[in-house]
Amino acid sequence: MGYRIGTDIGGTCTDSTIMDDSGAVTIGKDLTTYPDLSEGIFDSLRDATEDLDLGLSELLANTDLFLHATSVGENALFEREGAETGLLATAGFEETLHATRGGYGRWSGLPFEQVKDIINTDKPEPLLPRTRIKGVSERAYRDRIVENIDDEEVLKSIDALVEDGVESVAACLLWSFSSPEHERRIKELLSERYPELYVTISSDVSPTMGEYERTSTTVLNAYLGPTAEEYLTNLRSTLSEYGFDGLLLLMFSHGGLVSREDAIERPVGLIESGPVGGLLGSQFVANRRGIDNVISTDMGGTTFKVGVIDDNRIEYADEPMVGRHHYQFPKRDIHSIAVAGGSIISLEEGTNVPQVGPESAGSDPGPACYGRGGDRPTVTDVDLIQGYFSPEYFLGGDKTMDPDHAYEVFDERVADPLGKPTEEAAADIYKLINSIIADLLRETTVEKGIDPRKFSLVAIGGAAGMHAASYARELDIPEVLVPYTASVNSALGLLSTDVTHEHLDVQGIKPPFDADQVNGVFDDLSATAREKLIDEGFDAEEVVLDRSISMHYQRQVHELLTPVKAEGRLTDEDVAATVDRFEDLYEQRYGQGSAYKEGGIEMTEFRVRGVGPLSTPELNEHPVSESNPERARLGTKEMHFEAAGGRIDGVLYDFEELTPGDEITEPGVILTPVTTIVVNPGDVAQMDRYKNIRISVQEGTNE
Amino acid sequence: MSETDPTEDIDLSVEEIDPVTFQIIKHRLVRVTDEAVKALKRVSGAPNTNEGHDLMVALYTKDGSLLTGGVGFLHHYLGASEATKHIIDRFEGNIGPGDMFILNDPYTAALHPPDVYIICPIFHDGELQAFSASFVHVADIGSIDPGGFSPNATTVFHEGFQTPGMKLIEGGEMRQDILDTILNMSRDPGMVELDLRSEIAANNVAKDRLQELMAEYSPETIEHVGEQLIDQSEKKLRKRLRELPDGRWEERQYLDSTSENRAFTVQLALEKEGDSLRFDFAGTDEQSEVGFNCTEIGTIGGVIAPLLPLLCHDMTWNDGIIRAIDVDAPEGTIVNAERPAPISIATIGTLQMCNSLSTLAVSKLLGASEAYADRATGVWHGAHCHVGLEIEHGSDTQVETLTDTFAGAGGARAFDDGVDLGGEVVNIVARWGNAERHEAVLPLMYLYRRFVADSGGPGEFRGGLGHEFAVTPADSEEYDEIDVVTMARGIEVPQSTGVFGGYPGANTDFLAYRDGAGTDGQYPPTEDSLPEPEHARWGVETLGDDDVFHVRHPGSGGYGDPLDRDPERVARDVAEKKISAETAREVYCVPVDEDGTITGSVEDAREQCYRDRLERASVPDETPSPGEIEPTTYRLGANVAVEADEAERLYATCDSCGTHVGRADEDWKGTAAVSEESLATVGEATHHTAGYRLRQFLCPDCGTLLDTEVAKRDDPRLVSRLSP
Repeated sequence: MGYRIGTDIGGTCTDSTIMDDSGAVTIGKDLTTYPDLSEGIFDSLRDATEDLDLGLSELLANTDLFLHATSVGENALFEREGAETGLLATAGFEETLHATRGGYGRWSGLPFEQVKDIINTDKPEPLLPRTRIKGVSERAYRDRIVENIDDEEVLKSIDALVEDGVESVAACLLWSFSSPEHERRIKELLSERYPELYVTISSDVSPTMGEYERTSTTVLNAYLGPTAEEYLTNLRSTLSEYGFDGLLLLMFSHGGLVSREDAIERPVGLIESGPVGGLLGSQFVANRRGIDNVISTDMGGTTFKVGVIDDNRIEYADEPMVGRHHYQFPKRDIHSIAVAGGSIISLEEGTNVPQVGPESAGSDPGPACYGRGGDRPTVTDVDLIQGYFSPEYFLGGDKTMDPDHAYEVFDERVADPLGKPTEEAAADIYKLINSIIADLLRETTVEKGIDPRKFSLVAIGGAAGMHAASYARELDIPEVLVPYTASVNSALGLLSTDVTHEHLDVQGIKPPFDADQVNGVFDDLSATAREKLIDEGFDAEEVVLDRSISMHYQRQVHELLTPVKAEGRLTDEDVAATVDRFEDLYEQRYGQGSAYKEGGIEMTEFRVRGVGPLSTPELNEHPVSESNPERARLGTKEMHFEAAGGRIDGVLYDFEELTPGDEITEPGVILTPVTTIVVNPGDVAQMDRYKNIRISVQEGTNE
Repeated sequence: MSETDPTEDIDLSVEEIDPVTFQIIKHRLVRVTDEAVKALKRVSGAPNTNEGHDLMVALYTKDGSLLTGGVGFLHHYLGASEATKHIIDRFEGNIGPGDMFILNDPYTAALHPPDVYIICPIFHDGELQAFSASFVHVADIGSIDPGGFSPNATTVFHEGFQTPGMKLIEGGEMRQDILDTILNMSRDPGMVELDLRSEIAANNVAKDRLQELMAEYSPETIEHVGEQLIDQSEKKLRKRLRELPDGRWEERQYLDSTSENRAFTVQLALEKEGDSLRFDFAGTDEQSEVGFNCTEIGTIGGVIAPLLPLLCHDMTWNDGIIRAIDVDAPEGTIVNAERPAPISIATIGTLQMCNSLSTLAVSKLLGASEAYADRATGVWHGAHCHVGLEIEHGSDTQVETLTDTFAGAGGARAFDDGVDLGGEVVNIVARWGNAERHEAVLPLMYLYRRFVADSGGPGEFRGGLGHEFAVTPADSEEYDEIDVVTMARGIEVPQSTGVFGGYPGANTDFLAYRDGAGTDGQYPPTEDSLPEPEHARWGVETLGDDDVFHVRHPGSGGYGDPLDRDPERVARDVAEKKISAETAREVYCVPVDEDGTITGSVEDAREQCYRDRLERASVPDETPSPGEIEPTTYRLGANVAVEADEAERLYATCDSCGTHVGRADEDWKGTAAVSEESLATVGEATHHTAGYRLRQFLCPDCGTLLDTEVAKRDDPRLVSRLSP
């Protein structure tokens, strides 16, 4: 018995959560350190141990599980510090990576305003030059080999790449997801001749149809592999030096935990694992309150992120991308836009039409009100003029701010040119900001057939509290939840998830569907999944296997992952029920009449998600007493509320003095050490037994 | 030159509405069309819409003017506007809530018959408020050849089903008799029905969302924002035009028609005066006997489409932009054909050539101002290489396309190379489908899909490379017959011409290797074993089990003088096999070996090249010698500055040596040194015939390349001239 630790490395801060035997959670936080990310990990752990009255070695020596979400992959990619990488591709298709499916690589991942400016769009700088790509004479077609591979030719190519300084080799051959023999041969040849080289073959890392995305994934994985290996090896040995001899597990963007060895083999899964951890943190907090429909929004300094949890299911991203490089991985879907606390407000030249972002003041110099040299107005400055900040309590009183400067730059660059009084202009811009966010939320819910009125909105990140109740109102979302653990949401998410492996097999099966054939595919996958988890120390009976099948109508491109809702070996009826479910889901997702049924259905991909469950934390429950927010009342201050039709006296509450059961019915703000939560007129804010702030949002004026 | 003051006030501010509300509604309107496009793709699920993005959805005002457009082929903004106006006239008094109309007659409004418009009136409280319109290139409309592009058609009556307007949905109910009639005329009715349903779904989304907006803000507010948006775009464009110099820029391309064994000259002059643009096609050849022809509305759309991303990238794309532009297309010519001339290949024939000519003319206009010179570009993807497929199997007929042509290639820019396989200007979000995707559903196997070295037009900045591919039938139990439909152009003469001295990108090619596996019995056939190819440029060809079908796409046009290209870039291109070592040595004058290592003095080599150029050229006896002269902020090319003397006469001056080459307000190219070279000069991938020349205009003093033309030997030089 001992502690369980979750740490998440974010762009600015590294967060930690420590859970003890009883399920109680302690949190820690410190700045992320570059280039050695591990320093920040131990800093943030020290921050937590202070509260526990425990030394770092004492903690780590008594820790069983060290769960970690790392941005080492993103860093290596953005700093261009990945490995010298070479690629082997089917001869005649060497350009697949650089072709990026034509203009797709040029325009994808850009906001529409940039896409329109076609002259200034380019493909991302490729991770390897054309000279590092070697053609292999071989060919598979669908599920059969039609031209054999030549060992000598492969070895010659590998020699040439090594001579050119390559440290990591990717191989992606056509149809290898269904005919992997040639890639496996390449892997053998490589490990015999150059055992020290890092090798990724596409049939291991991304066995899915579509040679461009598969190649891009394989190359990205090979590019990140050696860096991830070094990082995780060092982290493991530093942890050992502190006396840790438990299990180190890494968060993957599929929403589960994997071993260090698996992470080294598939570092592409580490990409965006932190934000996915955050999504799980929101889910965890909401689930404790019995909520299964969640829109999780994270508004920090530079980006606004949103993820949707529909009946406790989180969709996989359609076309994931990192740094505008495409990759295929069962990554949970998170959307983002560049509208957050640091986003700069500007007026379009000539028209004076206001814009929010995409430029950001970031954390340096930051918003004008931070008084660190920022001389352009930002979202945070607008929030300040709205009256939502109280300089003397700003971030727990630790930091100073310069409100006068915020007024100055806002007047000069926004209010004066608009010919409006400062406060009126700020109220307008505040509305615009929420409207842009509401448009993104509509895109991720309404446009996908999801009714946001049946969801709770979770707000995390430093800037979210100031806007959440307002953008929730635009979509008639009835409830906003600001979790007590919002500041370490992702690290909390780590504690709530399980060891997970995704296994998949691409097999085209056409009707009439035969249960034996489907069972044949699943049997192999399930055996692999079970074996792997048992190897990792789980009991056979606790292992959970979720099966699903991707299907499509044969002449249409959309594939839909359809869960199999049956136990054990499938009967013909189970298979038929799964196909029916696919047809229902298809119409639901793509619209009535969208299925071209005459084309026939095809099963394309079989997945088994193997889960080794870990115990989940118990959040501290506090006694709930009768409402008495007066204790926490700090005073009043003039604030603008749209629902009040202008500026009124709003009440300032000190979060630290509120107790569970307190209900705030007057408009105002709740000041927490990390953020400010705005309570609009008509809304009611309540502190629940977990010290979350829950706001019941009055229905908006929108129908 | 006009004396317009660029700061002269055009008041762009929004009127009678708060700018914040304006911005909120504008953002929502963009989302309406964006969501509608997504709905279309979701419902369709076809490769052509989902990969090639061969679609469009747009909102129109209640009188049919473009309000906001979703992404897709941009020339359809115009066609669908015309179609909407036609429906308004034709169905006056008979347009009700829940109705939708179908129109695909090119001589009414459609660009060619397979691009089917569905038009949806949008009501609020019983009042007509707006329209949405969508198009998809549907799978097959029963024309003489499968797929809708019909090389064998010699009249519009061969080109399948065409309606000048019918009510397809009445009060929310599909008119089944109409739908059945349409589907009954198609080889692949199932897919066509799905295509139509996807258009209907897109219109439904657009309608629902716009109605929600009107309920939230009132229809008057939405209409007012719409009017303001249109006014604002017009004002923004006019303001931009005033910042650019007045002048005349001529462009010309040749459309090579295989079946007619001739080429059509398409000639375009852009005249810019004050704050308006006029495009004139005078000098263009008569209409074709095959479906390359374009209607007037197609030509107008084709001219305006590239302007949107090039000149109006920071404006809302709506009717305001169209108002500032006039297009003159003489009747009976290939750019304004008369019924019943065949028209089905327009969008990848003459209309696409209009895209290219307009790209060049506008690039020269932008390049004439120092402030906007970075927006000039060579032609992007000058010729689509559409490949239609008809696969017969038992009683089934499947009409499909390969999506290769949607890869495109980016034209060279004033500051960087064109993007290799970078798409096209008039469809800003297209892409190809993976080879594996095609192979999964078609009984075909790709043998290669690769860059074509030397296909990007040389220049100071190189045009983006195009690609080539080959396929051979596979899995013979899955088909009885595979027919390939081709309608090529750009084989005899390059279509992706360059700008400001840039060379053209390479030609296209379509070949069939008959019985490719026959020579050594190997399957799949290797390239070494392929027999001599036959041409497969035009018409319908049946592919035998062991035949190999090959297509080469064009590269894109270059920018500026190849001798100005950074030698390191040339060397890297050789190392990466984007150009051949021979091209590096001959065109770029960089002594380099096959691996891309520079082997000698670039300076020496280039000096010799400049001398050789002038030796081959006819050099004028004298150049103008103005007196006192001042620089201006205007230009006539990458290497051509414009200077003014005391009498405000304008001179074209070589940037390299300061020589006054000629009068910038007259015919400056008339006094430049001229050499006429074979198109073989451009590089190994460029096909050359004696009929077409690469005409180079050089500084008579230093040999710097100032402009290029791809021209028939006797065609006059093209004018580029600033107004005095």
